[in-house]
Amino acid sequence: MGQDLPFVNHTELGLLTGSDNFGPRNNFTFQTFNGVQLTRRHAVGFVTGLDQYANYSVLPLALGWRGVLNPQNKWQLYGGGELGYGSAVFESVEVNEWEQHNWRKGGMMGQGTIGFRYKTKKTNFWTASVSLKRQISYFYNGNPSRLSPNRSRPEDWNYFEEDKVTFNNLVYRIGYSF
Amino acid sequence: MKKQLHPHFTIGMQLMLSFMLVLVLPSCEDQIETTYTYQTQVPVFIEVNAFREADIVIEPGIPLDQPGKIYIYGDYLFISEPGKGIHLLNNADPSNPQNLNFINIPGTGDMAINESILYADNYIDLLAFDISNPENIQLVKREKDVFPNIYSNEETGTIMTYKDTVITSTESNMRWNSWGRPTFRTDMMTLESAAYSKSDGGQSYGQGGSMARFTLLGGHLYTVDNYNMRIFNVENPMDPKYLSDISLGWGIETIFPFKGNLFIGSMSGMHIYDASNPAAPREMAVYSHITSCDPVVVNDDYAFVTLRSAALCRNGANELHVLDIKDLNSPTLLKAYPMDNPHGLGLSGDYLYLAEGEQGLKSFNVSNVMEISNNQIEHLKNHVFLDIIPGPKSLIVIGPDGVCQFDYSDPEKLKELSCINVSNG
Repeated sequence: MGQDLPFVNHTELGLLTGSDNFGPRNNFTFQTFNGVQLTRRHAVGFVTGLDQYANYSVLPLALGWRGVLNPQNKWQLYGGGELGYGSAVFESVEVNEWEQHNWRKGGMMGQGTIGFRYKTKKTNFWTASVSLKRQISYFYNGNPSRLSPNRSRPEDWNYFEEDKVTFNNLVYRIGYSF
Repeated sequence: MKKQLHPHFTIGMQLMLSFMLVLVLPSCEDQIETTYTYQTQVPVFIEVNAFREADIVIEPGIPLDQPGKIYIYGDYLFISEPGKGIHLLNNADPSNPQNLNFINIPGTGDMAINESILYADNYIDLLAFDISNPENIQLVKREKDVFPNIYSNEETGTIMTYKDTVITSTESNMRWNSWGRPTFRTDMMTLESAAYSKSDGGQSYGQGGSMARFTLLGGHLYTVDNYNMRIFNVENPMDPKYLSDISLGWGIETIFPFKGNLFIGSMSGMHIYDASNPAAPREMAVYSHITSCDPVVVNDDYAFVTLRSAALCRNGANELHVLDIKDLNSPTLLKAYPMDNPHGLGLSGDYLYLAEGEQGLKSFNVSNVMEISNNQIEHLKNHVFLDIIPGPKSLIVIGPDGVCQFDYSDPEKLKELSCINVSNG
């Protein structure tokens, strides 16, 4: 069947940059796109990976798109986008010696990308890109008013602080696609 | 030719756009929006006349919400709901306790039972109820103005109390308002009387649970608040009379009687008072230790004290201390055992039952007080337990999730009889 859509993988490593209260931050990021080539110019798929912030790791889970402007050339301009969720699954609840509980929750993630890719074979490319990535996360700390506090019950906490953090990132990546 | 121009033009445009994007992006900083949610207590002013005129209503039984203290009286359990009232349960069958009545007492914190009279505080007053027929509880006496420390204006008859409130705000500085407010300390249910005080002075007293800030001894009712011990003559149980108060320092948590003496647990140590003259107890000794939360139980020779670290008990250690109290004038530390998070404890013969908070319940044989850690018998982990009362029919254990009873006729093998869960699960 000529209708079978070709599989596409695009795996990238990069630098996640931004600035927080303490100044610039630069960390590691990794992502991999697995999907299908819908048309000569467009591919869609699922994106996952790892985004590292200072002491916080996010597992992105998103739907992604890749579009190429000039597929006929050796040097090609392409764009991409992802929309999904960044999960704090690697984070655990920490309780300090003062019985203060600290934990984190993930949130919405969106990313837009523009970059070049260099064709090595018919469907194999080296890529370099720049993205704007926005990741929302929730950081909590609280002092429980009872043992075994329920995190969603305010009355279980004497004091409870929620920081909604929006990470605005500029991401530089290099990668390989086939 | 024309075919080549178009893509170049487009690429150029794209490049320019992306360059503009790069210029704009570095100005993006992480954004943080913080909301602070905290429990505080907003002041509520109450006219004394208003609550005195309002009837104390005996209601049908309602589910437990935040059980505070437990009193065993005959076949009945009295479970306080701080600030709200007292639950009355028929516990003739510990495997199936029946919720009978709820005595609606606003502003109550403590209770004690003397003969068939129940004492409870109602803001600034002490109430006495006749509970000889638990199906028909009667208010028999209101001793007025005996807890005057919450008067805001005695002349106009206004008291100030606090109402629990959850506040959410984006103003960080508001959080500090919540500090230093008096609270009903439901996390500090501690002391518990291991001694059956029955037949003391010819009167039969109920057996008090932990936060026992009310206690009975020698025809007198003793109450402690943070700083003071108040003494009431209850030789006529129906007619409690306020006598005097004694200043005790700070951070007083618990009080319980044993062999004519009063043991008072505070955040800084244990006071021992000689109450051989019950109307005027005399301080015999203070055992000071590091600041911690510390329930106490005693037998003839030893006092068992738990020290616990918690948010409210600064610098605490988690330990069980065994003190030699053969000479009550100079208690000495024999040995300290490390524990997980000890709260209340209960002593029954040679067996010590220790509530370890989230770590459940531990039992020890304490016939050799120097070898307690080597004589741990059981460790039940399925509930959160804060306090223990070894009752005549069952071992009653209380925690934030409810009240459980165990058959402890075989002290080495606890058997769960029943658990009453609180309504909010």
